[in-house]
Order: sequence, then structure tokens, then C-alpha cells
Amino acid sequence: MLDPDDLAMAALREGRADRLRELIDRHGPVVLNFLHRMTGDRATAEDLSQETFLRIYRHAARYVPGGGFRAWLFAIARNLAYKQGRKRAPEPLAPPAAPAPAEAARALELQAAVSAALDRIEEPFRSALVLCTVDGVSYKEAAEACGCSVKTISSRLARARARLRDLLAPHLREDLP
Amino acid sequence: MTCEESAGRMSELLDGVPGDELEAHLGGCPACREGLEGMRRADDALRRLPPIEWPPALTESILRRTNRPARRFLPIAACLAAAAAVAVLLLRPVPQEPDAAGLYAQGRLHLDQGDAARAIPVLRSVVERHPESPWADASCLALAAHFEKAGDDPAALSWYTAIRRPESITPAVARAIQAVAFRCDVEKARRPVK
Repeated sequence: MLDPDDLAMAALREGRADRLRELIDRHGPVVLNFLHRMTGDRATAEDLSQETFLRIYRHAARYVPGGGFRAWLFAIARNLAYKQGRKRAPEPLAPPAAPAPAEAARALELQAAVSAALDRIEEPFRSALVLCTVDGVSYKEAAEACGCSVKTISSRLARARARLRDLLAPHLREDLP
Repeated sequence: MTCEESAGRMSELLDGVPGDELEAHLGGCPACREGLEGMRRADDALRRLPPIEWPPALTESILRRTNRPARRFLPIAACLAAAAAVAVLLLRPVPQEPDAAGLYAQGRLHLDQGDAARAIPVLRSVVERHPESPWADASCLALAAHFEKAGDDPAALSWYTAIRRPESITPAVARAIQAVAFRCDVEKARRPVK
């Protein structure tokens, strides 16, 4: 009945570091993937995931219980990603290869194009896009994580989606195999 | 609705927010329909990026770092200040009272260990001493759940009704309160009238 994240945070406040494992098991993979998409680099995403959970442990006293743990977690991760920035320089968006590549090659090409497109979507639009589209975070949680209103998140998401669509347009044409 | 207005609302439609006016516009505007379809495909492509696995060694590395001090080398002044702070704490005649979160964690620990006799006064003290704290509601919920499990519905109901913050009454809590209140009413009706 009680929020399991709130209970784990209460234990962390008491210095029971072992309860951090429970939070990592529950949220680690989502945070890692969020940071990977935000930074574009796996090693950086792992370093920042580590730092995110250490901050949760060190600043447990600042957490106010009430079911908002995920928003707090993403706020910390997002701030770290924001300070870090995208590690890679934006790569040029190559036109789709011709003649039409095989299905597997095309999937890889599309992945590379999506990753390069993310490089080109600036903050704060990128975090709204990744949080709401990939991580399944609600508008309300994303607004709390980004420190803005739900309306602002909705508008940032709309702009980010339109930009992503335009950047990927050459790769998403129906006539491509 | 204009095409410009429609472009601003497409994203919400993708997230399942209904929009009759937008849908009517899309019905008669091939360009906007194509724009929405492109957005949907771009969303799908983003979601299909293969996820990366959480390396188990990362968990161990984080937990190891929780045992280390944040800095390896403390300046001499910081060491002296820390030593002074420790001395002050050790020389205090009265031990520092744990805050609401600390008391709540203690109470929960006793409950988890099945030691209700120690848990109940500690959780009760959170409610009495820190009524404005969110931990007071958490304590009420813990006590209510304990009494409900023990079959003492009147006691459970009294702790449920002591919850002060509306946000603590989640749908699950509301259902539990209704069930306990119903059982209390049934029990009252069964009692013989004097």
C-alpha cells in the first residue's frame, strides 16, 4: 500500500545504503537508457547513472515522500546530462543509401539516423522527447523533472517531435523498402 | 482549425489526448495527415532504438562508493572542523532526537521484524510530534495496515481517518478505507441494542 520507493528512501535517510540496491534494480535500466539517449555515449551514460544513484543516496534527506520519486530521479539524471552535454559532435545526416539496402542494414541505418537526429535536437526539447516518448514518463512527471509546467512540456514535446520527423523524413519515406 | 493550429496539437493526439476539432481538420487536409503520419513513424523509430543492458558490475560499483567518503583528501581545516563537530556531538548531554523520517524508519523496521509492541509507540509519536510531516501520514497508513491485518478494524479505521494530506489517499487507500468502514458498520449493526 505504501510506495516502495518512499520506503527505500526512508531507509536511506537512516544510512541503510543496502536499500539503494532495490532502487537501482527498479530504476537503473531506465535511467541508463535515458542518459544514453541524452548523451549519445554509453560510457558517459554509465558514469552519469552511477553519479545519479550516488546523489540519491547522499541527498536522501532532501527527498519529500509522496510518490514523486521517479520525477526526482529523472530531475537529477537530466541535470547531470545537461551539464555533460552531448559527447559526440553532431554527425551529418546521410541520405539513405541507394540502391535500397537489405532490411537489416536499413534498420541499422535508421538507428544511426535517429541517434544523429537526437544530437541535433537541443535541450530542453530533447529531454521532453526522450522522457515522454521513450521512457513512458507522464507529462506531469516530466514537468516535475524539468522544473516547468505541464503545458510547457506539451509544447516542447510537440516541437521536438516535429523536428525529429523533419530530420528523419528522408529515412522514413514509405517508398523505401 | 488552421494547419498551423493542427501542427501544434498533433503531438497530443499521438499521446491519446482526444481532439474532435483536430480529427475533423485531418479528415479534410492531406498535408496535415501526412505530417501526423510522419510524426508517428519518427516516434516509432525513436522507440525502436535498441535498449542497452544495465551492467551488474555498475550496481556493485555504486554500492562500494556509498561506503567511501565523498572526497579522498580533506583539507586540514575541514578535518579540524569535523573533529570539533564530533567532539561537540559526543559531549552533548542529551542525545539528538531522531526526526520524523528517522522515527518512521525505526517504526517500520520494528513492524517488518514483527515487533508491533515497539513499532506502535514509535509510529504514534511521529503522528503526534510531527503532524504536518508527510511521514505522519505514512505512519498512519502503516498503523492502519497493521491493525487491519490483525483484524482490529475499528483501530485500523481510526488510523485511516487520521491521515491529513489528501494526496496520501491514493485510490488503493480509499478502497481499503471503504472496506474497513463497511466491516465496522456491519459489526455495529450486529451488536444487540441495549
